[in-house]
Amino acid sequence: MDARSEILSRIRRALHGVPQVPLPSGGPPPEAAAYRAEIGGNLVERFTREAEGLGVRVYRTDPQRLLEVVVGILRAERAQRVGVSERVGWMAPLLQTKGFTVGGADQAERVEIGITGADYGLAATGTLVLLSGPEQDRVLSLLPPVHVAILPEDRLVVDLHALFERIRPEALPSALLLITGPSRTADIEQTLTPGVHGPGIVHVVLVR
Amino acid sequence: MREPIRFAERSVQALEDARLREVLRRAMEDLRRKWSRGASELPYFGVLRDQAKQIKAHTLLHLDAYLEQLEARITARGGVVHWARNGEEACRLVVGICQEVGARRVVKSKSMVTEEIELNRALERAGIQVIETDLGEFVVQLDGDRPSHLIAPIIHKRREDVAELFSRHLGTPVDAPVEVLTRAARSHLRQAFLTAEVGVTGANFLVAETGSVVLVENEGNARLVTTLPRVHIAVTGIEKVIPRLQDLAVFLPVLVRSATGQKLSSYVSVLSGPRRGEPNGPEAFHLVLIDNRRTEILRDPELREALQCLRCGACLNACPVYERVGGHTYGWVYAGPIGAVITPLLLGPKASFELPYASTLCGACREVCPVRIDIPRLLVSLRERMVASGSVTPLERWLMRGLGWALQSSVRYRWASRLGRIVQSLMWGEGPIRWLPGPLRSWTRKRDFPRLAPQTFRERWRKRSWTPGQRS
Repeated sequence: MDARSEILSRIRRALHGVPQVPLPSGGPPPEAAAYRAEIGGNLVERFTREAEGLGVRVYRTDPQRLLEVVVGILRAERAQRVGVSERVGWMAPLLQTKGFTVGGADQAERVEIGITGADYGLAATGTLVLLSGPEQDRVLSLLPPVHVAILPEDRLVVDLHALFERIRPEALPSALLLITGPSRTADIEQTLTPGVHGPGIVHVVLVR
Repeated sequence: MREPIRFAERSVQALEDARLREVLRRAMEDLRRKWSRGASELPYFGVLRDQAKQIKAHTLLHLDAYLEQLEARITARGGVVHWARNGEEACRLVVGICQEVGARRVVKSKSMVTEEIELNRALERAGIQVIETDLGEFVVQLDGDRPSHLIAPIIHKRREDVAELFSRHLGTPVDAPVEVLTRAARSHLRQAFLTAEVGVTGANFLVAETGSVVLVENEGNARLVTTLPRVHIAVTGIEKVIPRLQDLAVFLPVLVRSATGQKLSSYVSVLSGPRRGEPNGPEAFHLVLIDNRRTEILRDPELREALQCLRCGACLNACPVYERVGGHTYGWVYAGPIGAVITPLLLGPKASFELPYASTLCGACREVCPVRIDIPRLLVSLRERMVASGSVTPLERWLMRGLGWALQSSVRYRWASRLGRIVQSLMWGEGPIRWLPGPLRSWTRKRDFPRLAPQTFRERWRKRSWTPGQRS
């Protein structure tokens, strides 16, 4: 017998006649209602507080002033080489005219800052959600030492429960990434150190 | 045949290592503080834990169906699922995939299962370079050491130890602070990520509904391992599957809060098959599902619960025994209370008959377990089996029989305790009992034997100066 059939038949033999346990219905538990409702009433404020608590810089701006805010971040970080994800590709030529050297995902290892869009934000935990796709690469939020994420405010949801209500299982891309604060380690004597493999600095620009 | 793990002997050595005890004490205090913060901050954390337990229990009882669903979804997404009866088969599969794609270098993120099956050794024997990329695991690999904690592999090491190691291998100053060490590891490992052909990971969860592998981490190395190399191989036990994508809304907070007290870890990757039209990500995806005695545990109604473990490490942090002896004392891959359960189940009782006794049964592990595994009950059940299979000394059996005889009647019990008190004052006077005779000596080698109280509770009750129901 091949390994697959043998393992499956061992499982069936092991479970033969064992009474079943029902699968709990999905969705948030009723006990969570009040806690979640409070977050739902203050999505922007809660997201900002949670993200800032992890050392993330959060900005809030209008679409008209978005570029200005991004340029401000790049200057403050003293960045010259910038990687711009397809999702916010419209920014690339504009940043070039401001004097930055701009590349795409293929330049991720060489740039000082990666700029990406974000598909959702989770207010309860200050989390960015990135769904990979032809326009959403997986490297500009990972390889450069600084990550700047652009998140439309109407993409803020309460928590993971709310996120999975919006994402259909059959529409899941090859990578769904949750990013909560900068890359960090506490392996050496529980000393919290940012930027061990991924970006040590994360900026989030919320767009009204 | 594997040498038996001598827990008692090893713990004596560990207890004599003052430096280790100091390092562990500080680390455990910190981890316990983080756990309390994570558990108390969410008002419905207890409800989520109950849900998590029920989902796990349900899934394990339909494991065949969920594994088949998982396999079908992964295949539909262009991934390949492999099945391995044991560690050897799993290693052969992984080595085979690496050879097929001509890999000479493999980067790995942290995975306990690959420690269990000794995958690194198998790859190296095949002439393939393996690089551990989790900072702690990287240190372990450089030092030829072993991880001593489920989520904090170098919890037994001090900064000075790492600094000394890095100064030899990476050329950092001998007195380098943590930030410098971390930066040195980052730039050293970045080259490995960019040149490796294959990335190997474990899995925190497998989602049957979507055919996903879920990886939970803080460093970003698992993201790099699953993004830059051409091929991603996930290697994991069959018990890791959960039914639905939305179940992650239960499991992620439960796992992360229990492990590190964070609300969510820095990164969670939900990976479903190879890239499809994306500019990056692996071109090929393989999942190796390992049995390695898990189906035997599943068959056992008393011990099945052990398969619900999320490997969060909370029971290690809560355990007074682990805090004093550290992870290496448990002698194999899985340490702490859950290790004392899993190791005998995976290695067999002959190799680890002392481990179920490596606990005071205080119940702290059960209190903190995110899926409420009744670890003390599992340990007692394992002890019963050890006794039934004859792994106790004649003296122990004789003492237990005597104790059983005395406890079965109140008259016998009363006379036995009176006799005990007489013997006690004849032999040791009124002071502490510092020594015991003959084979009982080992009890008093490290601690006093508790004295019988001068009066029993019944005697005091009879002489009480008040009646029940009345405030004294």
